Amino acid sequence: MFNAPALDVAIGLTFLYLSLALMVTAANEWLAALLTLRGKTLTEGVGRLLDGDKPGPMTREFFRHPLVKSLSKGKRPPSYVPPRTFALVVKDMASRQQQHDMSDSGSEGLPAEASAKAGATGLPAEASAKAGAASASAAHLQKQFQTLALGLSPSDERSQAEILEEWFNDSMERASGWYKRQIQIVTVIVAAVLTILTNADTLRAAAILWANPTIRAAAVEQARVRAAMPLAEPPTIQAAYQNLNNPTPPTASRSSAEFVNPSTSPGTATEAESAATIDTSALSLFIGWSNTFRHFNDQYCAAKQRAVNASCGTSAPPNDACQAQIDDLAADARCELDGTRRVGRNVTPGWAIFGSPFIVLSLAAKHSVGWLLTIIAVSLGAPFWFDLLKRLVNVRGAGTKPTETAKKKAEA
Amino acid sequence: VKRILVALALVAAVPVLLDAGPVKFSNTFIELFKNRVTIDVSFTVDKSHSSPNTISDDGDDGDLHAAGRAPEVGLPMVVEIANARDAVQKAIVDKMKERVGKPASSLSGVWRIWYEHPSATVQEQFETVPVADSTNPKHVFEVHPVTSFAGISAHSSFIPIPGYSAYAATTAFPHYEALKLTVSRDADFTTMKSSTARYNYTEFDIVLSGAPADVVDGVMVLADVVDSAGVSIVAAARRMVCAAGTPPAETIRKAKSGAKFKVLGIPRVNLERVSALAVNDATVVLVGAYEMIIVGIVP
Repeated sequence: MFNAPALDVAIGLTFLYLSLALMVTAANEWLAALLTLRGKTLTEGVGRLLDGDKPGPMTREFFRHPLVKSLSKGKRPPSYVPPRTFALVVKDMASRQQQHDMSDSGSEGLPAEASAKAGATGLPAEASAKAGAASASAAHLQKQFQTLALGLSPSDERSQAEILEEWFNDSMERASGWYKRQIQIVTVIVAAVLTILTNADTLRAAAILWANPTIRAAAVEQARVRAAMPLAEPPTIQAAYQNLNNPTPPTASRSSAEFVNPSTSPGTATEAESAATIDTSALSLFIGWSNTFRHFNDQYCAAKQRAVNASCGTSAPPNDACQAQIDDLAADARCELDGTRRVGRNVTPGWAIFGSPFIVLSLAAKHSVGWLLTIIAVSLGAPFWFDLLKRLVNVRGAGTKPTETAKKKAEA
Repeated sequence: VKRILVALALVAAVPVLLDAGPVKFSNTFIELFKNRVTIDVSFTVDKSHSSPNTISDDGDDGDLHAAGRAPEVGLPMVVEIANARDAVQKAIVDKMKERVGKPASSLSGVWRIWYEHPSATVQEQFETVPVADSTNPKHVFEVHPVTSFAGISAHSSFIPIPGYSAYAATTAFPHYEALKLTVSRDADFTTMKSSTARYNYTEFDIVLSGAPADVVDGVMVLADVVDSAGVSIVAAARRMVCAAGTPPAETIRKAKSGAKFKVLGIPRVNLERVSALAVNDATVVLVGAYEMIIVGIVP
């Protein structure tokens, strides 16, 4: 058993970062849904494929297609379009464009080489070959098809659907990068708001944990329980078959490392959902505003008490003005009687705190470094902190519980 | 009195509402049986019904139940002979009753994992199995229906049960579809946990989604399950399994994709889907991880 205050402080801080990171994930999911970030990124990605720089008429036609519309909820764009659906819809659009062009006039051909390759693979390049009459979007799409066709070798045996799917997948990898950058910005903003709201000051939290063994023990115990739980609820999978003609498909075992990210797998419970199930009551012992509020209210109550003393003087019985001030102080929820003097309670002073800009600024200055450290830490994400927490808890407990395999090996 | 009755009803409902205890299956066993319909074991009969179930609409299906142990299974288990009230099955029924408490006899039949009578505690495959103290001990493993026992065949029992009204497909399949199987896998075991499952015998219509495939001991095919209007009542095609040498296997084997049948079937956990979708050193929840044992083709 390895037990040291420094390790316990590290466990407490890691538990703090994990808890905040899970809350940030929950907020991110909510904001991403509210702002339709996934749908917008997908629209932008498809727009670049079909229209060029930004979504245009081809993109609008794509998202109006019944196959894509069926993936949408209301008027919002879908969050995800399967590559197969993309290929089917683009082929359908190209085929309709071809019919439209044929009915207009005779078509111009593609450059000979591209045309030959496109013909060989069945790519719908010729569908939008009437460059002169085509819109800018159709011309862009035609150019994309030509590029795809020229990039093929004569021995390429992929079907046109496979080529379109690959084209879509390549583009979606870029779109996924845009989304990650967007969500990273949201993460930092949400982490900052949450850190300040909870006054999760790393330096202050570390100091409290270091100085107080009782708080440290409470934090370590809750961290230990949390580390024993999975990071997220297990994902739910529909046990469907891919090939309906093969009821006994060969299977390869899957490891957790290669498994899909549960947070992006549809119909699964996520880290965000599991955030609500953690007992984090120990955190309130080393983060939060209660001490600051008490200190602020202390000053406020002392000032009020001084005003009462000045008004009442030493005369007895008190006059009406004096009595009114005494009653007002007694009724003030921010103050309480401690022996013979009024002291501040650890309740929020409300907007009153903003009435003292100096105090707000001094608070910000006092906590800024600690907040910054917390924001950076929380931005690293829940999986990082969960992994670290498990390691630290294992180190504290001097190693993990042996698995069945290990036990059997030992017995053998 | 009303309050007492409500309290008693709640107490009675608790075992149904609670999740069953997890069962740890050997990974080797799963890989061996995931694409097999049946299992051959050396079965010691601990307890047997003295006579087959009666046949009625409320679940009495005319089966003969017996409980016992088999080293090939390594779990508390029950075996059931279908259509046991049929005079044709008298010999095998009598043999089962005769072998109670005697040395093991060879038994073959359709293996079945189903969380209908699960234990509240963890069961681990190939740990010591206690002698059954009733014909229905806490179990998730069955051989049901039996195809042969002590050299006596019961292949002819794979027909609809005369006079029995099975559960309607529109009642049973929504339940099967909603069942969640929580699966975790480590190097040696796959642990499966489910809420208590119901509805043994179901009569339903299938439309074959693909071509039937022969396996070593029967036939398997993926099929859509539809209601009387032909509308699918399952989220995806489900696997149907038929034991070799039984009337359903002979009929389904010759069928083509798109063929329609009305069948009598019982559900079991689909070990092939479990094997395919379980994740090493992690937990997943599977829905639709069941398959149907075709017990009879309804004319």
